[in-house]
Amino acid sequence: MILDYIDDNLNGDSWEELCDKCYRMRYQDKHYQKVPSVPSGDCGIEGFTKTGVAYQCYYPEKIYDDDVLYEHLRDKMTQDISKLLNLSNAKRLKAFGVVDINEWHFVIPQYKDNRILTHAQNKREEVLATKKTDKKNYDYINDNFVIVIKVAEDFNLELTRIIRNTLTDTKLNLAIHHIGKIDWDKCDSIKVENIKRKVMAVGNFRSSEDNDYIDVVSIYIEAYIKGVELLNELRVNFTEVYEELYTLEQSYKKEVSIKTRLNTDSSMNNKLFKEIMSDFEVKLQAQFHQYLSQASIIELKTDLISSWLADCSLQFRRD
Amino acid sequence: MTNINDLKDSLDKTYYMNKEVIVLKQYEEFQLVKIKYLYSNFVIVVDSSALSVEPTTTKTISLELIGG
Repeated sequence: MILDYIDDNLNGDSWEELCDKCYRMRYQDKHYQKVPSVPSGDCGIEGFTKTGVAYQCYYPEKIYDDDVLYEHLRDKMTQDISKLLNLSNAKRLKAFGVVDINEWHFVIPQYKDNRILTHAQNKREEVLATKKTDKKNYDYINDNFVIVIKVAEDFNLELTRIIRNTLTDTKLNLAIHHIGKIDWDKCDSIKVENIKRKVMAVGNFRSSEDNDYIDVVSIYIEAYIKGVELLNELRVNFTEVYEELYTLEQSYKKEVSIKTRLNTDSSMNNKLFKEIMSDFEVKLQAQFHQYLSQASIIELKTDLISSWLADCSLQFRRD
Repeated sequence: MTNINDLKDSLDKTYYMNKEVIVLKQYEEFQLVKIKYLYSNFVIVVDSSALSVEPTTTKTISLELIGG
C-alpha cells in the first residue's frame, strides 16, 4: 500500500536553509563554507568544502507534473552550470577559496524523470570541454568533475536530526492525503468486528444500517490500516521518533483500558470517548509539537485511537 | 482545539493546514469531519481539531520526501 502524504509546505528559502544545515552537519570536518548570495549572486554554488564538493539547491515553486518539473530542473541546472563557468565568477570563486571542484551536487526534493540524469551527464561533458579550452582560468575544476543529483532522501539522517532537535522551524509532516489500494487482509475480521461493536456503543446510531454508522466504521478501519503502515515507516526510517511515540502510546493505552473497563454506564460512553480523544491529543501535543506539524499530531491521534478500537484497549459496553 | 459545533453554519473560512476547505459532513459524536478542498475535488475525513479558521503557515517536509 502506498501512503500519499499531504504536500510539503516549503519554499526556496526554507529548502536552502535545510540544505545548508545538512551540508554543515555532513561536511563539518571538511571545512564546509556557505556562499551567501550577496553581493553579486552565488556564482552557481550555495556552499563548498575544502575537499572539492560544491552544491546548488533548488525547490520548485509549485507542484508540477513530471514533464514540467523536469523542464524546471533542467533549466535551473543549465543556468547554474553557466554561472559556474562564467569567467568573472571564476575569479570570485577562487577568491572565496574554492579549489578543485570534483563533485557538483544539484540538491532537489525529488525527481521522477530520468532525463535529468542525462542532462547532468551532458552538462558534465560541457564543463570538462570548457575546462580544456582554458585550463588556467578553470583550474578550480577538477579533471574528474562530476554532477550528482541529490534528493531529500539522501540526507535522511541529517534531516531527521535537524528536525527532531528543532535546529529548524520546519516540522515533519506525517499527515496522509489518501492511501493507495487498501489491503483489507491487514485488518482481520476480529478487528473489524471490534471496531463495529465499539463504534455502535459510542455513537448514537439507530441500527447497523445507519449510513453514518457505516461511514464511521469505514473511516476507522481505514485509519487503522493507515496507522499500521505509518508506524511501520516510522519504525524503519525514524527509529527515535517511533520509540518515543510507542512509549507514549503504550502507557496511555493502559490508562484508557482501565478507564473504559471501569465505566459501567453505557450512557457515558460517548462522553468518555471524547475525553480520551481530547486527553490523548493533549499528550501528543506536549511531546511532539516541537517537530511534528499539527496535522501530523491529529493523524497519529486518529490512527492510534482506531487501533485501540480494533484491539482490546478500549472497552465500551452497550446495554 | 476547534469545537465541531463552531464549524456548523460558521461564516468564517475553514482551513486544513494551508488549504481552504468546505465542510461537507460532520460526525459529531466522533469529532470527525468530511471536508473538500476548495479548489479541488479531493475529499478527506479528518478530526475536527485539524481544522482552523486561518491557514497554518508552519513549514513542513513530508515523511515521504525524507524516506518514508
